[in-house]
Amino acid sequence: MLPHEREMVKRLEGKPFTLLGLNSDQSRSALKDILKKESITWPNIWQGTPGAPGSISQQWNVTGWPTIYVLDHEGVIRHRDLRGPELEEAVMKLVEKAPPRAGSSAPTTGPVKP
Amino acid sequence: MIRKWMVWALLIPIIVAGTPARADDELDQLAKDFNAAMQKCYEQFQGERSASQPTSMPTHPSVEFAPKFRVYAEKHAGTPDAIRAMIFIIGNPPSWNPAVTDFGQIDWALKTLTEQCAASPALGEHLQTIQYAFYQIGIVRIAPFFERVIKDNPEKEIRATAMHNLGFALDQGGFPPPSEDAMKVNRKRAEALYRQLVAEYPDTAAAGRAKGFLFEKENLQIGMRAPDFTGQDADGNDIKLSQFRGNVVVIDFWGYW
Repeated sequence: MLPHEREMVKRLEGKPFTLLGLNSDQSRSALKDILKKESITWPNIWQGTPGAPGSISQQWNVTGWPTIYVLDHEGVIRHRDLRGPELEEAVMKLVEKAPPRAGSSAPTTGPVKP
Repeated sequence: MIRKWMVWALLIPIIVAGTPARADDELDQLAKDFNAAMQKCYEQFQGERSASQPTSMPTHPSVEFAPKFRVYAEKHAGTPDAIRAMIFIIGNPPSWNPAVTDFGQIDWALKTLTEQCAASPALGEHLQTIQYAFYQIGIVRIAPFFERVIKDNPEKEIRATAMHNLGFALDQGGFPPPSEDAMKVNRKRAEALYRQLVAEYPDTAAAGRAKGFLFEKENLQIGMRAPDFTGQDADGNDIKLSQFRGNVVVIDFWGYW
């Protein structure tokens, strides 16, 4: 998934699109290493190991990894569990409907470090 | 070629056998012999993987072993080991093909468990095996057992787990797949069960899983606005989902492992 995600982020640079990772690796520092090693530039929340109580993945009933949700520019869920070219096609269609924003691979508000 | 259900059929006995050593040597030996027979079959599948079609399937070891487990269970009726023996039978349908299975021994084991063991505290460790088995033996066979456990078992955690497992099975379908109409009814019943579980046994692990199911059903379906959440990135800075409003967002739950 990662190589495709990197390319998708690159292709959609400057467009109103964000890839938001919710990571369940061993620790926050493990995630940090992975982000550096894999040149992951998009925002990622570290939220504890799978099934960690109180984690977002537990609340969202995530039982298989990876699990994908696609939200439109108004935050409405439009697709679930798409992958690869299908995912990108669906994202492109939604991006075309979204009003353009300047430099918008970054979050629309608030600080985020890649 | 290896089909998914074959792998499943081979995995379930390994899951069951992986549990800690029994007090009873005779049952231990039966289990060992059974697993050895399954292992032989697995090796034969591996050998035939390159062939486009297996030339002939060996008889499933359960054809030989289910009656042996039954004899053991009848001999030791009323003991936790008898329950273990019956779980072996239920967890190992005697056919590689789910469409072609003789359920005689399984039906006997389920009937005995339902009528004689539903109140046993020894059931706790086995509920998951029965839940996995449901995929192959179907909801119609499984439901009466879970219903009796929900009604009669004195242990709260066991009743709660049985409620969750029944809801799970109703929601999933199993084999043979129920009709569309039956699934609609099953899914409604599953939801009602989960709500009841959360209401009556809120502090159980089973209720936690039910809460997840209900949250997803009520908040995460296509067409719904995703509920906001906050987390911290690798540097400990806050990230809120809503801060990306205005962008198309792909949320990716992932792990590198």
